[in-house]
Amino acid sequence: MYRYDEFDSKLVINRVKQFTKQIKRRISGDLTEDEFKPLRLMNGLYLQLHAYMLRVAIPYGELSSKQLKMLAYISKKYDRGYGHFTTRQNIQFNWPKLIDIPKILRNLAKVEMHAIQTSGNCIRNVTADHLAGLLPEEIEDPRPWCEIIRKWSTFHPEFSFLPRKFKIAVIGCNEDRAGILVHDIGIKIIKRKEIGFQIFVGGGQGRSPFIAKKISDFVSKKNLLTYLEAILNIYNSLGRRDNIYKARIKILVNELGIEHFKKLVEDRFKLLKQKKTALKGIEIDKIKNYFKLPSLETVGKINPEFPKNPNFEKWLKFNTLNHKVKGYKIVLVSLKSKNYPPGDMDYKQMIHLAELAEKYSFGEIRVTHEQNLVIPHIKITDLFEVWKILDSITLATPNIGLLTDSICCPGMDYCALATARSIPIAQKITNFFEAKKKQDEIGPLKIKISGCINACGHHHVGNIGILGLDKNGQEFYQITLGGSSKENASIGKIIGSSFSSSEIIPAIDKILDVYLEKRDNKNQTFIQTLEQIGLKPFQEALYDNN
Amino acid sequence: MIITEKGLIKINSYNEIVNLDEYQKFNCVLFTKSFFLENITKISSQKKNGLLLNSDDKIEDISQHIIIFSLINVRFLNFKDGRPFSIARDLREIFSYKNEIRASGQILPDQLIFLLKCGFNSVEIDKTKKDTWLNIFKTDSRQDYQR
Ligand code: SF4
Repeated sequence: MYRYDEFDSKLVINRVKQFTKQIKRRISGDLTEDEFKPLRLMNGLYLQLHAYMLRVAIPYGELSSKQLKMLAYISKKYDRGYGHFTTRQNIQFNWPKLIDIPKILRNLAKVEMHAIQTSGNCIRNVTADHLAGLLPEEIEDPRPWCEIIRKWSTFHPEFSFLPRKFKIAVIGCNEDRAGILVHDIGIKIIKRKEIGFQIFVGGGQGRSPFIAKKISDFVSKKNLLTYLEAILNIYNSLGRRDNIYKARIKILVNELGIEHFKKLVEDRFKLLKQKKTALKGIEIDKIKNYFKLPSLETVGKINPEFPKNPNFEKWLKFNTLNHKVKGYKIVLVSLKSKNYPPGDMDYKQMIHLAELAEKYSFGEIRVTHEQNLVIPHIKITDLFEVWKILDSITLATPNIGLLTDSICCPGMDYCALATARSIPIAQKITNFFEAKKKQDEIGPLKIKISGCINACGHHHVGNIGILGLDKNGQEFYQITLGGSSKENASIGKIIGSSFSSSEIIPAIDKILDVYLEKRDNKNQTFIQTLEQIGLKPFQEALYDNN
Repeated sequence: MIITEKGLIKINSYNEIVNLDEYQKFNCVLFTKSFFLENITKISSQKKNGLLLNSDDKIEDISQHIIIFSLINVRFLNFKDGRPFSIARDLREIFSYKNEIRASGQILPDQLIFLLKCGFNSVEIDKTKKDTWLNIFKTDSRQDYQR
């Protein structure tokens, strides 16, 4: 994984010093809250419902054991003993005090971490496929490209006061696990005569969801940053600043039309082409070196005999994947267990997991955009041992990709903008469907829950999306069906009038019954079934006999 | 009052004018883009001509004239509106403008380093905030990844 050099460390430390001074100026009144706001946001500090929230960057989701131990320390010392992993592969602390922030940042800097550009109207932490570098079908590892983009976008002097936040994601496989089509810019590594990038622009969720459109079919490696710079320049100059809800690039692309937008970008790109952002092969190679696979020893027994244990077998089935190196597995750690809000992890779990990764996986851990974790390189012969440890710390829930592996935003429990609670809904779903054992029969299915129209829980792209609403002071939930953030990305359709918090679980149960009844076979997914039969049978089941 | 890219505090010598009479009166003048376009034939290259742009002004339509300006002053409508950063970079990198670019309007001292990196040479500042500006000039890090 990437290691800081002296330059990186100095940069982060300087930033901590600068932000510490800004906090002092805020406390002394030299900065008004309005002036302080963009500065604190650029350092990951939000003002939430009850307290400040600090969002710490985990670039493209990659964490070391040492870093996870530091996050454990911070959770215990400065928060309430836990952290919350987000859909952008970051971690949030929900209860730090303003006065402790400099100390937290100094501690983070010790392990090469920071909170820079995790919020505010700048280029945010770049995300990637959480299985980057682990699969045989991958064209090229996206992580070095994320790192190159991370550097380029950090404290970019021109693009730190954009009309609105800006999110970039990169993938290197055909299968999209990072949701590139719902990002401001989505980058897909492709192979033509040489390897380069397909670029998509203008995707996004929030109140007006859009699927990104292709702006370039091929950008060479050398020109990647220049092309991004051209897009950002057009956005910074022409993006709307009169209305915060129309300020994302998706609105600009949609208002101008992709062809017009593309022409502006290409003209700009031609002007910038010979300039400083051109990447040299040697720089690219230097970054790539950091992401080499650790030297995995050959494993003798590829099919070891495991002790008979149904829970282990179920976990093996749902929570592990084949690694590109024979004899190894990729282990997915579910953060969606019954007693924890989705994405939450307490400090003890963090410490144990960090130790486990140290012992069995070269100290590497990753965060997925579905708020789970990955231990990337587990020897097949260690699997049973690893499962036992995970099980003992409630991290072996065998539900990856299933119904109860839902995505959920913080909602009314933490977020000042929320119109309803979302965490309790996720927990109710888990409790209800785990008890019914229905989810195994259903198979892969994505439920995504947002506590308001801002859609941080990605409800638009859930196979089943749930949006919390406020109706005269009562919480109601609207259901959308058919969303997806994969290669075939689509925005879900609203099924009908919304449900109260006591009606929502039975409603989902009915939807799932229709699916189970109507699907042709076990392998037909929810989306395929919906495409085949349309919304009507679901609507009839939900509304007709009321 | 202005702060320069060398960290010096100086007096602003440009007079903001609105009509031709005033234009004739001063030797060092600052006028808007619309004044310039209306009086383009009367602009004297003997004077120090400063052009005042707003965040939302385009520069493409005057780009062939920029050589006549000894100063281009880009006024921030609001510190959160980052368009002037792109305007300055365009002036430097696309239109090869070599004279002074100044930032004015609503700017935070904390934006100083970004301004200088995008090609600004000076910033109009509020007298009462002079020490904060100087302090930031001296202590804020200039280290970055961009080229
Ligand atoms: S979707 Fe709404 S409630 Fe949920 S985190 Fe985002 S802003 Fe807050």
